[in-house]
Formats: sequence, C-alpha cells, structure tokens
Amino acid sequence: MTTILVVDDEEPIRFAFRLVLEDAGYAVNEAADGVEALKALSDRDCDLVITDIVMPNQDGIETILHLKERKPGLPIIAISGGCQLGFAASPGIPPNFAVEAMLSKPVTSVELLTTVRRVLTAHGA
Amino acid sequence: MAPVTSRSLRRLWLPWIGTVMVLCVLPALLHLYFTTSSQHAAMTEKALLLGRTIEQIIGQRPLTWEFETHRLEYLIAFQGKQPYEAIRIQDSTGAVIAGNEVPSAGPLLVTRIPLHDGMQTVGTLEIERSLIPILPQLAGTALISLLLGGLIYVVTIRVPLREVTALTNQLSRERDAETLRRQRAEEQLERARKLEAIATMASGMAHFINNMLTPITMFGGILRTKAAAGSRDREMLDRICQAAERATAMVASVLAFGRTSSLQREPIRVEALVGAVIDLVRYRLPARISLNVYNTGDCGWISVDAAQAGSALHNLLNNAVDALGDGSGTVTVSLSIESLSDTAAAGTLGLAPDRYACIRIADNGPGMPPLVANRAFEPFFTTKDVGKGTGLGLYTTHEIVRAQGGAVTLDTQEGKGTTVSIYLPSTTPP
Repeated sequence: MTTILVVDDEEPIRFAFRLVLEDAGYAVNEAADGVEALKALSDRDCDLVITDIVMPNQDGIETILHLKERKPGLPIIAISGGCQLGFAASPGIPPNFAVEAMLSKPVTSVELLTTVRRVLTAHGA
Repeated sequence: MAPVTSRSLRRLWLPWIGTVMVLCVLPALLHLYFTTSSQHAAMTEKALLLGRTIEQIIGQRPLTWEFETHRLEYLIAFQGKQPYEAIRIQDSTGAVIAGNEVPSAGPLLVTRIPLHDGMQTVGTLEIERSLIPILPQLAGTALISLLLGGLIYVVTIRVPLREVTALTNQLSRERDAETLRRQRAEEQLERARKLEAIATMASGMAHFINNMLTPITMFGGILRTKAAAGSRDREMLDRICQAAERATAMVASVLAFGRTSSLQREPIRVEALVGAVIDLVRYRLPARISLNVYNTGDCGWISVDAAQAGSALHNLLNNAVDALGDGSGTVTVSLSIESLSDTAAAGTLGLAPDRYACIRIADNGPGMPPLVANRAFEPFFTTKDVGKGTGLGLYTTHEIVRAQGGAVTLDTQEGKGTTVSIYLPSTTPP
C-alpha cells in the first residue's frame, strides 16, 4: 500500500489530511516537525512526503533540504501557509530548493488528492 | 579738620598709584605678549580691523572692544579643527569687506545676520554655526570668537541690544527648525517600525488562519458533496464553504498588501513585464472579450520589484475584465513614455519632473459614477458582489506603485468606461 508521510506542526491539519488520504486508500504516517519526520523516514516505508513550510520560520525548508539529502528519489509536496506567489518571491530560499509540487493553504480535498495522484504517477509509485 | 599726615596721603595715593601702574603696565604686558611673534602681531592687526569694521557697520560709536586671549574654554572647543574662515563681513552688494582669507577646510555651516545701521540693511555678518553657542546673552555685549590661522582670538564687541536680540532670535529659530526636523525624522522612523511590527503580526496571523481554514475547507467540501442537493444540510454546507473562501481571499489580499514594504527592485523592460502579465490573463479570457495591446515604440526600462509590479498589473487587468461583466467588450493596454518636464503636470500626479513609463489599462465597460470613483482607492471598498472582491486590489496597487516612485490615476466616465494609468520612473538600461 502506498504510504504517505504528513508533516505539520498543527494537529488539525494532520488529522484532516489523514482522514482524506486514508479515505482515498493511502496509508498515512504523521510527524509534527522536521526531527520526527526524519525519524519516521528511517523507521518506516514512505512513498511520498507532504510537508508544511512554516513562514517566516525556515524550519520547513530545512526539513525539505534534509529529506532531499537523505532520500533523493522521494517526492515531496510542499504546502505553504501564505500566498504561493509570495513564497516564491521571498528572500532566504536557497537556490537548491526544489519540490515536486506546491500547494497553498487552505486546500480542498480534491486539490490535495489530485496533486498526490499526479506526483505519485510521475514518480512511478 | 583732620591733619594731613603722610599716612593718610598714602592711603589716598595708593589706589591711584596702583591703577596708574596697572594702566601703564598692562598695555606693556599686552604689547609684550602680542609682539613676541610677528605672527601674533599680524593676526592682532587683522582682528582689530575686523572689530573696527563691525563697529562701523553696526554704526554705534564708540564700540569698545577688548582682547582676551586666555579664554581656554573656547580653545578646547576648537581643538583639532583646521583653520577656516570663521567670520566674514559683507557689504550690501555681497562684497567681502573683512574676514580672514584662510580658505575653509570643508563645507561650512554659517548663519547670516543682516546688519542694520538703524535705517537699512548695510551688510551681512556671517558666523560659523559652531561658534554661535558661545555667544553669551550679556545685555549689550556680543562675543565673537575668531579663529584665525589656527589660533583663537576672542573679540568682545559691545553691540546694541537689538543686534543681540536679532542674533539670539535667529539662533532660537534655527534651533527650533532643527528640533522639528529631528522630531519628524524620529516620528517617521517610529511609524516605519510600527508598520513593520504590524506586517509581521499580520503575516503570522494569516498563516494561522490559513491553517485553521484548512479543515473547514476540506471537511466542508467533502460533506457538501455528500449532502443531498436542495437539502437544508446542503445549503448550510454551501454557506460554510463560501465563508471559508471569502476568508481565504481576504487573508491573501492582506498578505499581498503587507508585502508592499519589502521591495527587491531590478531593472526590467516595460514590454517584458506587461507581456508576462498579459500572457497570464489572455488564456482565461472568454471569446466575447478582446484584448488589444498598443505600444508606441521602445518604452525602455523600469526598476521595479517584478513580482509586485506584476501583481499590481494583474489586478488592474482583472478589474478591467470584471468590469465588462457578462457582456462583450474590449480591454486595451497601451504602453508609452511620458516626459513630465512640467513641474505642474508632474505635481498633480505627486511626482518629480522626470521621464516615466506609462502603462494604461482601459475597458469600454459601464464606467464608474463619481461617488464610486472617489472611493475607488480606499481599502476594503468594493462594488463587486459579495465574495467576488476584497476591496484591497486598487489600494494595494496604489501602495505598490507609490512605493516604487510612481503614481496611479483613475479616469472614468459612466457609460464610457474606465482607464487606469500607472506611471513608473524610467531607468537607464543595465
């Protein structure tokens, strides 16, 4: 079964994503921050990571960079809490930062599932 | 009568002898002091001349003046400074009558005081500003210190009271102006700090609200599809989703506005910027609306934050499309260079005379009545239907453009349409 890791410091977000993703037939693991996320990666299988980018804090971005380093082939969907355009233009984003898809909160269940399916298909899961 | 004894005579004589001695010795001592070097003599001569000239100009006879070369407190104030023209007297034509001829070492701040002879202005007294604080407010006396050739000479000039008043009035006027300037600068800094704090708070709040909106949006959306069409449940869930959408739009608008304070400017060709925005809009235009772009030649470069300028243009284009509603119509984008050399023309826009790139976005829609046009740039003012606009678009656009040295104008007529013009300063190509 395809496993998705959801990383977000807000429990309501993790709950909402878990509900929707499990309903759609995915197995879901949760992590509340970058440290937990890396631990979850080493403990369990993972086919896709969905992670929050907390702004203006850089934790989310660092987490993504670490994830990319640890598992280069693992697709990541980043979800920002502010406006998407603004994020792309904001200073402090390192040039080697790249994710497979970006969404901005709040997302609808349709947006989330469509993006998840698209990314998984593109990465042969 | 008391007998005149030699002792009583001595008592009479002594003070007189003392004074005569002092009067005889003092000038000799002074003379000695001043003629120990020829340089001193020359400078003394100069200071004397200056004193006499001031005396003449002020027109009070006789002015008494004294030399004091031991005023150490003034020496300390001037230690380390290069010789400079500390004082200068000009006549009414501006010709310099007296002053030391040592060229100034750097820019001088001088205070100019017109000198009256009781009837008219006969000249100007210029005093280097750092000297003014040492003008004592002794009634009828002004103390002017001369820095000549690196040595301090202090000339005490008895000046009529009204001159001292004029000097001190000028001094306090300038001090007040300086205080006001500093106050305004501090106020501006404080305002900027406050704005930054608010922007940070708004950003944090936006992030939090977007987080909380996520379960509402997600679950509301799911339950909505599960509720039977036309049912009361469906109606309620429709409302929940709509409210969440409006909140999302408002948060995004406020965030967009908050970002107007952090600009990263880069030179960009006007045509490139406008072209990029038009491409974004063109594909989502229905066939009944046509979009024309007119270019009056090379419109050169502007130095702007491309993301913000782009989002401002995008907003204006969307407004133009929305204004045409469900009917057909045309949106016209024109690019040109305008030289606002006339101060009046530039002034009405709140701009300095310069070359500006002008981007005009016009629609032939219904236009705005005067009541609406007057409030168009107000934050949170919108005529769009509930849920279709936050009322922040034009306000944010205005702030973005102004922050980059430009201006936005609105030209509208009911029944004819609306044109919004953006002026941005032209820059030289990189």
